[in-house]
Amino acid sequence: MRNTMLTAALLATAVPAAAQTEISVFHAWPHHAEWQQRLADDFMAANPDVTIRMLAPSTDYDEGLVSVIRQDMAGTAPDLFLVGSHLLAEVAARDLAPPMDDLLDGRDMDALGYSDAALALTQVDGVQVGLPWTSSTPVMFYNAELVRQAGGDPAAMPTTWDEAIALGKAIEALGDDIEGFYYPPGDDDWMVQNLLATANLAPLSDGTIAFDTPEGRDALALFERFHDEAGQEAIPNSAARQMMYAGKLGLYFNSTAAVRSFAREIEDRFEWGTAPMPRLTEDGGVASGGMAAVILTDDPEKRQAAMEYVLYGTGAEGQATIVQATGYMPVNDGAEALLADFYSDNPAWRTSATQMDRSLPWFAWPGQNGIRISQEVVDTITAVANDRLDTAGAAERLTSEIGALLP
Amino acid sequence: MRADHRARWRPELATAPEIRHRRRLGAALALPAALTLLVLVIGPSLAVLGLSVTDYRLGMPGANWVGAANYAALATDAGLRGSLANTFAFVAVVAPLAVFGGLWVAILVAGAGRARGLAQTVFFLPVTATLVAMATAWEVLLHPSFGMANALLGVLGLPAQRFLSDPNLALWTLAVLAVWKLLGYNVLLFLAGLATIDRTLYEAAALDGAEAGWRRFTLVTWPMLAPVTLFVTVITLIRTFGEFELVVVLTNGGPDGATEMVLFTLYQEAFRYFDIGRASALAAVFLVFVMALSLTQIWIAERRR
Repeated sequence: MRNTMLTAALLATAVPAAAQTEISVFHAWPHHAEWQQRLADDFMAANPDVTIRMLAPSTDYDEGLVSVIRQDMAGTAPDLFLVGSHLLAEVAARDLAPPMDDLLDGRDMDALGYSDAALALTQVDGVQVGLPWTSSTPVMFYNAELVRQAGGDPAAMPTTWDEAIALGKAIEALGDDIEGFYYPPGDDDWMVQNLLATANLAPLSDGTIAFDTPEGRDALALFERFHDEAGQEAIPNSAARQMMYAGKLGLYFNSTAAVRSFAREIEDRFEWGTAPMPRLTEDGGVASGGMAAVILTDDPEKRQAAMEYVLYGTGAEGQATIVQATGYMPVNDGAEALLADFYSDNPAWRTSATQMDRSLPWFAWPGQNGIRISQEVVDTITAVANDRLDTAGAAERLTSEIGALLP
Repeated sequence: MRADHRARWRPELATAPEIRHRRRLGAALALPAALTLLVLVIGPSLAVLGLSVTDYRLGMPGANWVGAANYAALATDAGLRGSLANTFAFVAVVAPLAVFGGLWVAILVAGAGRARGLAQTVFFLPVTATLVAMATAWEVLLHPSFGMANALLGVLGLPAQRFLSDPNLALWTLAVLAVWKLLGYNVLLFLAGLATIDRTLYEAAALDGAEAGWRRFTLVTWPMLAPVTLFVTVITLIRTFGEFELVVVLTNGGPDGATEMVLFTLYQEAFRYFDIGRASALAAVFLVFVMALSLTQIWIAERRR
């Protein structure tokens, strides 16, 4: 009897006074779990009636989408899904997420800090499928000490590819165990999108594949020049990253989202920094990418609660948390003010944000073969790195393969 | 004598109701296993066959009949053809090395005397180690600039290699790792086989002049190991045809598709490109291979009896 009463008492304290709404959140990348959880904890502290339950993260964006598609078929999809920007069209094609119209109704998104350009990132065929949760552009990481030894100036890093290649070559010449330059072929085609972006080109515009144009070929040729002129080795990205951390690599190009990892791995063993991406043409820009927050649940009450969390995460405060934890750039205009002190103390974080005005919108290949095309691009560029193809051959292969895969 | 009659079933003495009863009992006993097989193996296999003639994409509402188009793609699509070619090349190198290497090491270990326990453990360790964890170690060993493998090559005056990122080398690097992974298991099976060989056969062979070395091996060891060898060969073939982990963990099919193999490609097609139709066609082909191998094993084993 005493036991029963004890249990009843315990139950009474466990059941909260107000009705609880539980929102399950599914994101990619296990190394993001810490800051995703911190965001959820901050939100729950301010909203005790909502419980955010983080599901075990998927190893990457692709795995995450596969899980959600399967769960959707079984009726157990998460309430909120953070999907890779290049996969948003796949989510829309499968009607996994109801349009957000009911949630946006009556909200002044502009006043909340969401620019039209930011909202447009997560629209598919004019329908708002989600909101941008993170966004990034690539930056040029450099080892300041190697740059100086090679006669460069970390305060005035190259702004064109010609200069960057020359600097890479000079660093390469410093020693046998020193590499000058590494531009990753990428896990998907984002890094190649970025080669095109430095000539202000999108991979596909008005039905023309960029690799089928002289400008696009010039941009693609950069990758061959990195190997032939700047001495880039055809090694895996992870190996180059390790060399960078070890202080043996001069210039490295990748998403600004890696800034936090650089800070953690290098600490103060040597001086390093980030600089804006070099340009191929005067109007050269950068490609952008990131993840979108997509509300999958149909339940009106859960949708409202999930929306509150999305507005928190994509709002000024949430974005400030994310930026400091990763290196992503803020997607909300209100975050800049909160980050002023942080940015002045940590200039390496700021570079990506300064590129915002020349960043191209998120890109995804139309039709159902986007991921296959992306892999084809990676394979082709890897063949160039390994001297199996030259730029002309690569451009030809990409044009015909992509042409056959587009709708 | 009634009990004796029960104990030994003699069909020629059984009455018709007895036979029927016995058959019903047999069917009832086999039913759970048969049902499980039907639900978990035969059913899904038939579903895969059905999907292989459609253009179904994961999570999409409908699918269209496309006939043999997915099978035709296996023959014409450069990526799929490359994947099949890589698989055969991989099997052709790995399977003989793992089987005969396993036999050779087993014979050495069996004669190792006191060191036997230690040697056995050393060779069996890779089998017990989780490959995903070991892959990290291999990545460090094979690192293109500060890996130990390249340091060793440097000492020998040989040029450094990009083991996992050179398209001409990556598949063979994986082949070496696959042999490393399979060898210990095969050694263990062969050791078990060696232990069952009757000592008197060796004594008899010694009387006939085959005291040691190659003659003793060909006269006694090899023939007596035949059933084990058959089993090891089939298991090794099936496991190498189905190599998946190494590719996922170390190369992801790259560089430029150089390490794409059937099971990995199947996974990519189904769960990365969502092209279930094509993946199903590949699965059907894989199933036929594995079935053919197993049937060959059964056939040879039956013939020997």
